[in-house]
Amino acid sequence: MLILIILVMLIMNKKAERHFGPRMVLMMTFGVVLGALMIFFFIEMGREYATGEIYTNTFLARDLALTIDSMYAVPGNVMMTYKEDLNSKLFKIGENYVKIDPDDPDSTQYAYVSDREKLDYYFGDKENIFISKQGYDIILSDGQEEFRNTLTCTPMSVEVSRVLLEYSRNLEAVIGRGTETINIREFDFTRGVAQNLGGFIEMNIVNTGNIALEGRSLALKTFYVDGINYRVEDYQQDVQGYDLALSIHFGEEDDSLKNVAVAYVNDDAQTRSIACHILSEIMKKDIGLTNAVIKTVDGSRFDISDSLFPLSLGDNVILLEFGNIHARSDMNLYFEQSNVALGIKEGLNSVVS
Amino acid sequence: MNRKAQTTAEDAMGIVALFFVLMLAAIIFVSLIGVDAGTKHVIREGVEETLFTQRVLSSPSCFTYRDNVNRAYPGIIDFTRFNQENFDQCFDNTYNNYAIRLTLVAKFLERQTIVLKTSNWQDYAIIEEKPPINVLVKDDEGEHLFEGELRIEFHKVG
Repeated sequence: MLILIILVMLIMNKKAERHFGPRMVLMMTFGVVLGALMIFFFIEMGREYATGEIYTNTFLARDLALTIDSMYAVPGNVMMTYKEDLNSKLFKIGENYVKIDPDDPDSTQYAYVSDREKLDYYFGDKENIFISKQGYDIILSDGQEEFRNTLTCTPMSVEVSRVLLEYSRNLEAVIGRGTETINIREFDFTRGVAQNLGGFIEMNIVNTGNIALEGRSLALKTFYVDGINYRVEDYQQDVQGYDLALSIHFGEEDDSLKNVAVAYVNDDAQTRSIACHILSEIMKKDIGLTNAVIKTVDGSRFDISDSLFPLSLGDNVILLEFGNIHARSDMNLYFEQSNVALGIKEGLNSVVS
Repeated sequence: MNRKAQTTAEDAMGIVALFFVLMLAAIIFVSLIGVDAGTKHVIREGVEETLFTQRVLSSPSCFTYRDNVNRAYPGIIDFTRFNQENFDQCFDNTYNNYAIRLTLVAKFLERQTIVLKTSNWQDYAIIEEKPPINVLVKDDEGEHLFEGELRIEFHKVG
């Protein structure tokens, strides 16, 4: 505005024009504009230098570019929350570069190597962004909801008419582990899921004085929902005769599972597809889980020979491992039995022919 | 009066010249700060080369063999996809200052050697000698696995 005023004043000042001549007035105007720009530059660069913003911007540009390069190098699907402080930053991710404060003439940028699908994102004032790689494509979003929906599953039509809901490990395994300290059992959670699915699970209280044994016995364990026959059973039941066994657990041994839902499956495309659809539906519910991963048993923390783990019994087993519940602050997940049940139901509906 | 006008005009020219000099100083200042900021965050040497190597070996978009459910098998090269067209698409380094050359020696039938390189590769550039990586190569019929060697070389451009 100031520059504009000076400009107008100089142009309109006939006296100055008479005094110096029109050419000189034009040159002076040009000089004043250049001077104003220069002063602006000095102030802006001084501010960025003094506040360290220029270093933060350089770091963010490089870090984001390297993150994208890393994501492209992953053989499977992956999701992550980029948690660097992005508040008040504008950034553009173009087809080959990351640029911070892209509208500034002194913006910083760093190149990454792009794949066949070119990226084009522009974000501003976001606390976190979510980056996922699905198949060959990298997807960025500033909203968790969109991020949750990015799990893409191979479409498949399968026949499932008998489902076994398997709960918990043996009692000794539960005692002394994370969830036991706050009296939470996978058994209770699975029972809650079954009841929310539509079953009426009658409890036969067995008071042994040991809290982990209380209510272990179940009755009326079989029920039908949407044409599927569900049965709730203790761990390590023989899965023969079932089209699918769902084993529900908390990751109480593994701190890295916090806020993550993992489906462990055997190396079988059909089971993998079912697991993906179930996880995808569960992630759409707002239950505090930010990441979803599907892993095969090989390479997971489970050994196929682990006697606690039922996957050795057959291919048609999915182990749903939800985030750990170490403390009361993690308890929210425990009360999401209805959403988990809904996720299972909707996930199965999308694949069952 | 005429002399006074001439003096004022000379002064004005001086001011304009001064602005130009200061402008030049501003540009130098900005450049120096940019260089300084760049040196404060040094990426550890070899990080980008490692990422690009991982990408060549693992990315399902490039050459890694995929099964019928699109699962990638890192370290197994699909011979049918190891070509320049695919490389250009899955590895677009238009603005990156790394140039890459891949040399695959597939040990089946007669030994076949295929060389792929990014468009900015300079044959006369000095490159660090690196040993080849042992890989498996899925043959062009997709039925058999053969041994192979993949050499991945880098040099910086600009």
